[in-house]
Amino acid sequence: MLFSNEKVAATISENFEPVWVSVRPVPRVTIDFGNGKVIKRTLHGNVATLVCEPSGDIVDILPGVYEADTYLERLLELKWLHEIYKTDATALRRYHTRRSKQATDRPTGDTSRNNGPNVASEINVKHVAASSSLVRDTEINEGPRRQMIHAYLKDHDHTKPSDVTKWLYREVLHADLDDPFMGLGETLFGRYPFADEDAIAR
Amino acid sequence: MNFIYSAAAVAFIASLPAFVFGQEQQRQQSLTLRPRVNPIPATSTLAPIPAELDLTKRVIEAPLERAIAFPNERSHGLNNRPSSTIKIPRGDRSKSFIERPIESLLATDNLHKNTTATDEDNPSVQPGLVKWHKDFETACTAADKSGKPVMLFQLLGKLDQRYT
Repeated sequence: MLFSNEKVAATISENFEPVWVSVRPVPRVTIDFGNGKVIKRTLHGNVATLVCEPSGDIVDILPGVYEADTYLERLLELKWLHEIYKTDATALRRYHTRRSKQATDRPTGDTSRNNGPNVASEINVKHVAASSSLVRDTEINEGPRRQMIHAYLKDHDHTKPSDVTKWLYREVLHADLDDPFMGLGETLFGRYPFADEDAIAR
Repeated sequence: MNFIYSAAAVAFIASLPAFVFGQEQQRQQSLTLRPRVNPIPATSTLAPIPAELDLTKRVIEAPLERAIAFPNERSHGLNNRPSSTIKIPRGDRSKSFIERPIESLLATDNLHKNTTATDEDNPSVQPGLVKWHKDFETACTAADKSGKPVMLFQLLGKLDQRYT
């Protein structure tokens, strides 16, 4: 767990006022193999880290799970941005505008499920294959997902977490909080031969 | 001639028991071969429903018990009423017992506040080494005093539970 890492925990405690909030119960899957073996897993667990002003205004958002070192690097960048924003009220808008322009200048060809620009083509394919899924997640988070966030925040000043949570989970993390099946309905029922019976039962 | 008719009549009467027995045998056989609908397993894994929760059973059976206890009473239950006036008894709340928890589970309008984990299937764990504020408002108040920014970590599930 990221927050059990001593370095991560110490850096957060030293530089931030941390709080966690649950946006909805996590979907869980239990498979009973019938021979006494039962496995339990979470499904579609997604997270986001929002750095905010004391007023509650969002400075920036880190979507998804990050590899520890990159996570700390980004958090400290946002702490620095917060310090600049104290004396320059236009700093946030300029920051998001510049980052979103950088995003649109990048080559596209998204292989992920969102419609934003993609950095997958920038990533060395061999490196991705060899890297862990966490590193790969970090790259996707830092690429198309953050670009979508910059594009949103440059047009929305003084955005509070409650204003953006549903959009963030639906559009950026693809985990629609208003969908009881969290976007997995097609996967679960699309080709399932007993879908009609299940629909009646539901 | 009369003798011939009498002999035929006696033979017919004598064959009747065998015919009837054969029919009965066939009927028994067909019953034996007929597949059972919804067979109940000998060792059912379903736990018995506590009597106090089994409202449907109670509302159906109570009028019958009353009919036996008070045979002269005119109305003993639903069957004595004209079909147009049949109403669902007020006590039959089994549907709402089943559906309301699911509806509330799926409702997403209410973001879940941090509470102490009590789910037996999802045991409590330490939420890392970070000292977390209890809610966003408290963190903002602390940030106002300390000058630090707030770090709001949003997640599905709860950070102080095993499955998040």
